This record gives sequence, structure tokens and C-alpha cells, in this order.
Amino acid sequence: MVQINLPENSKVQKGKYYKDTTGSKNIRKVNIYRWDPSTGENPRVDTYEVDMDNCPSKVLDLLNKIKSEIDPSLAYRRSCAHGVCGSCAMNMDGKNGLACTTPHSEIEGDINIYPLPHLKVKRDLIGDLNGLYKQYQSIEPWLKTNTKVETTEIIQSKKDREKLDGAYECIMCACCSTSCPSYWWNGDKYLGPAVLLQAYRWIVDSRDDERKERLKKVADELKLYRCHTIMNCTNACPKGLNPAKAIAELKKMLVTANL
Amino acid sequence: MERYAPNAKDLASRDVVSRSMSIEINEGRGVGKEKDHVHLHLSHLDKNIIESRLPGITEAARLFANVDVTKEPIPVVPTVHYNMGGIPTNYKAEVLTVNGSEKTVPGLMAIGEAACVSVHGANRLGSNSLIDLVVFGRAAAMRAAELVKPGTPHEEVSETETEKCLERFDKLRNANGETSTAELRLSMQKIMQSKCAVFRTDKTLKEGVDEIRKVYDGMESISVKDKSLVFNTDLVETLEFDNLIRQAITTVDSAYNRKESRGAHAREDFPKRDDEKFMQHTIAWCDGKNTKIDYRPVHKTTLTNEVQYFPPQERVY
Repeated sequence: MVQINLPENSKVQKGKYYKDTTGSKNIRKVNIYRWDPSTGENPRVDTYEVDMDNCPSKVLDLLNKIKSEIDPSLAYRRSCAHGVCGSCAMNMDGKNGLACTTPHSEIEGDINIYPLPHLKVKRDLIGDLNGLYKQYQSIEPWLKTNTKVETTEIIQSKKDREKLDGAYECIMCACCSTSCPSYWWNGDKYLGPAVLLQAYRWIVDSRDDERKERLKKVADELKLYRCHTIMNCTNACPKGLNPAKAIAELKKMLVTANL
Repeated sequence: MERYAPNAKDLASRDVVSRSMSIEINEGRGVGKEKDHVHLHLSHLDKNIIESRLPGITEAARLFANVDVTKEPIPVVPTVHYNMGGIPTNYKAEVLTVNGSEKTVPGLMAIGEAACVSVHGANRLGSNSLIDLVVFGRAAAMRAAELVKPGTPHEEVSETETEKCLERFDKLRNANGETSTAELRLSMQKIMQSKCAVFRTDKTLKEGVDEIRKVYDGMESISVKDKSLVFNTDLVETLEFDNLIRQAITTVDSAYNRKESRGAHAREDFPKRDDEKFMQHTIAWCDGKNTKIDYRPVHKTTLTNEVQYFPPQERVY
């Protein structure tokens, strides 16, 4: 009934070892998960010896250094490099985060870098986020108004605007959802913390007219109530947000709202 | 900043602030071990204002400079963050062709940072990208809806065109030279940073014009180590470099030929704006490392009678 062992082709093997060629005295070992589906080979973990004397402070700098100077075939997503775009989310030293804002000095011993957990891997450190994006689409993340007037802006009071604080800052990096055991287990049906935080963001937006419909839509045993307040999401969020609280708010609204 | 912009001070436009910072650093008044940057103080602002209005800067300063902006200054230096040129378009996002006319290329549109609608001329002012998104994104959509009849099939693309694309792809994917894309990219970055920077002179620009072509020639011996067809970021970065080096050549050639100062283009040898010769758009055609530089006049009329044309004035802050 339950498959206990990994399938043969999923077993992670010991990979290549790239010895330092700079002669530096300040070397750290970086172990990185590698897999290219087009080769037909098993995933492996490659080890790189990196000269830390000439490496800026973040894990992304380390990856860029490896890609530029040691192995250009290493594949990972990156874009803004300052914690705004969410592209370089990955698992570093067992913890999800953004490579561009995570200092490597905070990691002790060898630096282990893996893709975000429990996503299908596309290649190396790149996880498949299509499922998450489909779920995001399903909560219809855009303003819905019933009024036909389109010529003036919809005014929002400062107080109402403040309700979006802690939700609008989300960059959809998926660190939270991929740290959630409930999402690992039911990722196809449970919306997960990232998408539920976004659902909450539109439900509390004073300018939106479809609050009730939105609430009804998430009020589902699987979509919402697979959250068991494990709180890994809040612990993982690189922007310091609290998706678990937003989910609790949603549950509270459903208890008190007259739908 | 009040020495450079007595009225606007820190709120002067970006090119003015960048130049002021560069002058301070160049004249030896920079800070830090290398005296290579300046300090930005926010601590005179109320803590609540900093928290509510500048959360992004606060976080960036904490993460990258280990600075608490309510108590300490942020180390800063001017750098590139936006490309002010681009594919010339009209205000409907249609791409313009042929010098001196408003003729469009049928079916070709450009928006965002790829395009140059020329709203802010030779400058990058606040909310530039917001205009690109909200105004020209919408205008492009409306124009596309006007031009395309529903159900119209795509025009047949000739095989010679698809061949060209595949040839470029295959050539770079199978490139087996000695120089990595990262090395060439770094050379390009260094040349653009030192020769086509905040302040420019005939000498630095000429050096840039020559040196950037050597980097282009380096493409002959470029190497792409990754041959995979799945998420091949080595190849993507090489294709990007191929685009960027042509962009760099066009940029430095255009700057070299513009013998005046205008907006963010500051020539030390031509410190004044020269409206007689240069109140026009540079148009460049790029073919490999060769460029053809020409000019297109700027509009001196408005689209409605509600506002009048603003003739350019001396910029005083």
C-alpha cells in the first residue's frame, strides 16, 4: 500500500568532486543537488570547494561564483538578487529561504543546497511551481467590483489599507508552502500557506466586492482545513510574514461570517 | 545635497543626485576604507515614517549593509538600474521605423524597458516603470485589439527566418571555445562601468567604443559547457550575453556621438545641452559590431489642446 523505499531512479548518488584550484586557505565545501532528466541518470550531489576569501556574503553569491568560475552547467533560478522577486527560493542547510538574502556565514560546516522540498524537480535546484501557480490562479487574485464606474479611483481609508499589511509583501517564493507537511501530503488539493495568504489578502481588501463568494470558495475541507497549525510556514517565510495567522483569520471569519 | 540642489536637495532628480555623489567620491570625500561610497542618512526622519513609507529600503539596508536606518547611515553608490533607450515606439506601443517619419512596423509592438516611448527623454524619473505598465501596457492592449481581427491566423513564417533562429541557437549551444560566458560578461560590465559611466568624455567613450568591440570579438571563442535541452541556464545566459553585447555597443556608440550633456548623459567635455544640434532622438542600427547612428526629431506638439507644449528649460533644482 505504502511505498517505503524511494524508487530506484530517485536515489541520490554521490556526484562529482570539484577540488579547489585557487590555492586558497579559506575553503568551504558546498554540496549541491544535481539532476538533469534528459541524461537518464539518477540525481546526485556534487561537491565544490569554494574560495571564500573572494566571495560576497550571500548563498546566491556563492552559487554565482560556482556557476561563473567552476561549473557553468549548474542550474538555478535567480533574478533581482535583493529579496524582491522570490526566484532563488531553495533549501539551504535544511531550511527554506531565498539564496540572495541568506548569509552563508550563518551555515555551519559544509553548505548543503537542495531544491525546495517536495516539488517535482525540473532540473538541479529548480522546482516545478506550476501546481502552485494554478492554485494561485484559482483564488482569482485580482480586484472584483460590481460597480460599472471605471473613471475614478476606488478610495481606501488608511485603516483599511493597513489590513493588507503583512499580506501584500508576499513575493510568492513558495518557501512556506514547500515547508508545510500538510502541503507535502495533499499539495494537489490543499491550497497551502502561500496561496491562502493571497486568498486572505483579497478577502480583507476593502475595495473588493466579492468577499463572501471568495470566503465560500476557500471554505473547503481540503483547500483550507488541511492546515493543522504546524506553523512551519511562518517559520520559513523569508519576508517575516505570518501565513499561519492569515489562515487562522480565514477560519475565524468562516465561523463568524453569515454566508 | 544642498550644495548641488539648494531647493530640491535630496529630492533632485536621479541623474543630479548620481552626479553629486560621483563628484564627492571623485574629489576624495567618499567614505569607507577605499573612500569609494557615500553615506545616506535617514535618521532625521521619524521612526514611524521610516517604517511605514520606506519598508523596502529599511529591509535592504539591514540585509545587505547590516545597517539600522533609524540609527546609522546607509552606504550608497550610484549604479545602473534602468535602460533609458530601447526600441522606438509611438504612444500606442507600435514600433517606429525609418528615420524622420512616424511610419510603423506592421504587427510589431514593444513595451516596458524594451521599448523607448520617450516620455522622460534622456532621464529616468520616478514612476517611469509604472507609466510603462499602467499607461502604455493598456495602450498597447487597446491598439492590439484594434489592429487584430479575431480569428485571423498567424502569418506564415518563412523557413529562412526560422532557420536563422535555429542556426543562432545551435551555434551558441555547440560553442566549444575557451572563454566562458561569465568572463566575457564581466569584461563587458567593467568596460561599461568605467567607460560609459556617470561622467563621460571623448577619451573614455572612444576607449569604450574600441574595447567593447574586443569583447564582442571574444564571442568567437565563447564556450557553452552545458549542452542539455532542459533548463539550460548556461545557454540562456549566453543568448542573453549575445543580446547584451550588441546593446552595449549601441549604447556606447550613441553616447560617443552625442557631443552634449542631456539628462543622465553627462559629458565633461560638453557640459551644456545643445538643443540646436541634439534635441533629437538617437536612432542606431546594429549589425554585428557595426552600428549606423542617425537622428529622429522630437515631437514639439501635444496630442490635445488642453495642455501646451513645454519648451525645454535650464534644469535648476
